[in-house]
Amino acid sequence: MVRLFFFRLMLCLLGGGFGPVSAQTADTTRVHELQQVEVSAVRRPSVVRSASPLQVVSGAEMERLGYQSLADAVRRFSGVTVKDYGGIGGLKTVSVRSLGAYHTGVMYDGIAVSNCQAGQIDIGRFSLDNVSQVTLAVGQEDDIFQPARMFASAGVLSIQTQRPEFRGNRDYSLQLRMKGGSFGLVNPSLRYARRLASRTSLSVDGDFLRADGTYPFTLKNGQSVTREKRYNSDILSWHTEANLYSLLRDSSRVTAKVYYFQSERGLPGGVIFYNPYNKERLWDRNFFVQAGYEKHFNPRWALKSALKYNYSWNRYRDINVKYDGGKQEDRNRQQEYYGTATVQYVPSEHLTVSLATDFAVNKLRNNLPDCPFPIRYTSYSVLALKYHYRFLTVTANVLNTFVTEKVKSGERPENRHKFTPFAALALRPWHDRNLYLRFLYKNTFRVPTFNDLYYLRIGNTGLRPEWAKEYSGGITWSGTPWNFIDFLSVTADVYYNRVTDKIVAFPSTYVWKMLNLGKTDITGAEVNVRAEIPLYNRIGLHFSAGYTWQKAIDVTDKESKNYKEQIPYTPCHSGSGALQVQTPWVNMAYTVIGVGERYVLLQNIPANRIEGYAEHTFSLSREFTGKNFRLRLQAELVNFTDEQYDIIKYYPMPGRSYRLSATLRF
Amino acid sequence: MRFRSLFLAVLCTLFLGVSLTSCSDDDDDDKVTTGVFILNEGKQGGNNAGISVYNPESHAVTEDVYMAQNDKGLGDTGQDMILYRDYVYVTVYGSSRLVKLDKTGTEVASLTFSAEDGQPRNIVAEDGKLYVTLYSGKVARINAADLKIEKYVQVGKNPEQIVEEDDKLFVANSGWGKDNTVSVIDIRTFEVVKTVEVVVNPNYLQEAEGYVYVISYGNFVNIPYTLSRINTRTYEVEKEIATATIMAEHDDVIYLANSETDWSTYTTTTTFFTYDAKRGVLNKTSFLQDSPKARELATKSIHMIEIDPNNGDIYIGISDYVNNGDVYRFTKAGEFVREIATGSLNPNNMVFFD
Repeated sequence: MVRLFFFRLMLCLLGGGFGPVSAQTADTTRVHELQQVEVSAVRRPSVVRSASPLQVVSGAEMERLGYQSLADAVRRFSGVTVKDYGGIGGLKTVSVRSLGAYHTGVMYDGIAVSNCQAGQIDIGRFSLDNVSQVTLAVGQEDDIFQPARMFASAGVLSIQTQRPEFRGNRDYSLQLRMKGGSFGLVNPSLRYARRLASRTSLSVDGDFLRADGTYPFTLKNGQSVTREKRYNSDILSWHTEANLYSLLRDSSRVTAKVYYFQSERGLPGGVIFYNPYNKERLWDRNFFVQAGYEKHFNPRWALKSALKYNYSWNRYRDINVKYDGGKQEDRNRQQEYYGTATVQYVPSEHLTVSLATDFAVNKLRNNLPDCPFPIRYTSYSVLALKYHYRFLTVTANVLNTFVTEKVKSGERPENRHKFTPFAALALRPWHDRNLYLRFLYKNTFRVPTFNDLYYLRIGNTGLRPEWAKEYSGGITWSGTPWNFIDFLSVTADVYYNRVTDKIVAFPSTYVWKMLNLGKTDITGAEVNVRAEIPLYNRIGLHFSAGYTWQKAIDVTDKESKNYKEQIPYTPCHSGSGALQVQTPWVNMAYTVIGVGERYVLLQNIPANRIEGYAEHTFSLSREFTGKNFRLRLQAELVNFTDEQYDIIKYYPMPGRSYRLSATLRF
Repeated sequence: MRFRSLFLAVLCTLFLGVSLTSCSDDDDDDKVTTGVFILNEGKQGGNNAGISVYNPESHAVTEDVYMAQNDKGLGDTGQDMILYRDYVYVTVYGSSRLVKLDKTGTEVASLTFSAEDGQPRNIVAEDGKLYVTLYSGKVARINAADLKIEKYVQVGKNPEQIVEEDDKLFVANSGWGKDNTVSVIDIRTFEVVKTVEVVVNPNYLQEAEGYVYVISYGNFVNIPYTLSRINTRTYEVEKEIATATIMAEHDDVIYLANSETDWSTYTTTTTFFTYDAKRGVLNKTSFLQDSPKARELATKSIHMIEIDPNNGDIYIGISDYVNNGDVYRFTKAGEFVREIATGSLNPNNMVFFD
């Protein structure tokens, strides 16, 4: 029963959301994009000047580097642990600085994606095809002209989609892309944009993906080493969205989006010795519609607001004689109504103040016995200020969260009402040097999920929120120290986090219950380097690398065998690197990710140890420009050393594979 | 490899002495336990079921003998283990198999159950046959010599434990909380002759003195874990003898424990008591004498109670499902003897070699 619960818990990852395109801060350092490279539409925020540790990767960069998915890009960020259950359709969640995936907010075009049932967001479903930029901020983003929900998490993963671009005097653009590769991957996509009026445009995106996912892997069972194949790992999905962008006469901006996603996939489960049987499948549907409005009244006052309705549905099915009637079928349906409004006031050139209020209604229905059909009402209000004076930038806010729930039957949790603070400080000791010192403090909580509260007997309506406290300090620098280098940036941060009242499943005699029982102490350090070196004429070299050291220990119970031992799936050492050589003829990229040994369970004993791994990828690309079109061809060799590894034990990752893509733009 | 030969040598000396003495004597009272297998269930999906060997004299524990002897893992989720005619039989639930081991832990035969059979649960042996409950709602009769399935009989939903008494097999049909019956199978015809209604969600069975004792898990709301007993001739049910979560039997005494967790304080309280099967009397006195370890156990959920048939020593296993489990050994009189670190997760069964 318990296993079934966890399976369902993992499967219940619904949700999805987009928002209006938010105004990006013009806080940008020089971005050196060499010739032959398209410049992304969204301006890149500066990782050096940011008061909160920030990491950025653009869509074009992800494409050149041959990243396979959003999760593949995110797992290369420092301090991030992506739990990846393998395969194209596998669940992928993001934990920032070992706080756990529940504490990571995921923003899609400026609006938070929510999932009140499971609490964690599966980033595996997001397509890379229409992404222009991905940023990861510890604490929160520097820009305070944002919805209140952005302030509510310990870390924010923000995904920005592409805006339409029109070449020359054309009033349309068209992009056709075909990707294909190992394990039966076929992934065509289409993007069409049209200018409807001088300042109004419409874009339509569509992509389809299918893969068998039957990849080979090496299974070790004691002395026996066998080559096996991953079965029931197929996926079929499509995603369509339409966006409207309009700049009105009074210079206010209106955006609207309609989104639909659908998928069917096999869930291969963990590899079980001697028993390959697996028939679990999952169907997903997600539809939402939203509209945003943004107006700058004058240099001092600005308003931003949005409305959204989200519908997510999934069906889980397992066929096994152990179930009554030979099968188990769960259906979950979640709905969200969401509204946000933010006012920004700039009283002087040194000070910016913003006030944001969000309101969300979340509903869950499912076919499980005793479903109480919970409805959660949440209101967030935040007062934020940013003060900048010469060498000093201070950002601070206080967030007020109120949560109340209604249930059809049974008990409901008490109302929750909390104030949570954030403060960050950035110092630039020398005005002529790009050297910054930064400090951050944030205290946040996550409310128990619907599963934590209500799931059959395991749920516990007495749960309190789980708290995460973050302290971080760092030094950043960028410049051109030597002639042969165009640009160099270095950031180094150290941090201490503490998670208290952690919500964990606690075993008793055959009945498990969710309890506020965990405490984790996290100490860490991360270093990131980025350099651009012109080699010769039009040949250039981009280099980036990151390294993370983390000690995340369980300090729940002094008497327990795992007291002060590293928490599961958290490596002490991890790092990633990327090297790109750009020439007029061809662009080459090499990327590597390395993760040290980890433990599968709480106790740090040899039986629970899982080996580290390194995965190397190589890609080649070239763009051809015609009179009316651009054609881009790319080939990728993924995991070319054929490393056999698991991120989650017994969920083997694919070995060597290839992928080819062709993109035609008009 | 050097470790393995050394290990083999140790085991051989251990069991050589054993088999010589055991052949010459059939009387229980003179038998001495020389080796103990502990089945560690492991974590579901972890492929980490294993068997630890405990030496009751030296208290030495050898971890994962199955791996050491067979160069591969036992599989996922060790479910049940019995000792029958010098061989050990283990059902491995996740891996859906049954293995036959000799006293050194070396596999001599194995059987994989099909998707139609469903995954195996518990075993009982009688007259050269093994009877294994399967989650398809069947009991399979299996030849103990070569592990070939001979026949199936349909029982209730999700059958769990199975015992033999009076040439009949009793099977607890849990239905994962939806069934409330015990099926009775005539061992000769291998047909269900009676379906007895008990408290909902029956799981554990023990037999003693013409009765089958049943622990039902109840419905987790208003029906608690309940001990009942079935008269094996009249099939009359004596319901609600006591509230208990786990039991073992030795010398016509049912050893019981009841663990209850208070979810507002996160504290667990366990009481230990006995039921005299001969006289039909519940004895609320703890079968453990007061000691620091007994007091510690009174605050833990009990995962296993096993009694050494040769000397009545009581072994109590605990586990928190995330850290390696411990087994506490007491004498028949309830005196604390030893805390045994099993070296793996969730000890749930023991067998005693003499």
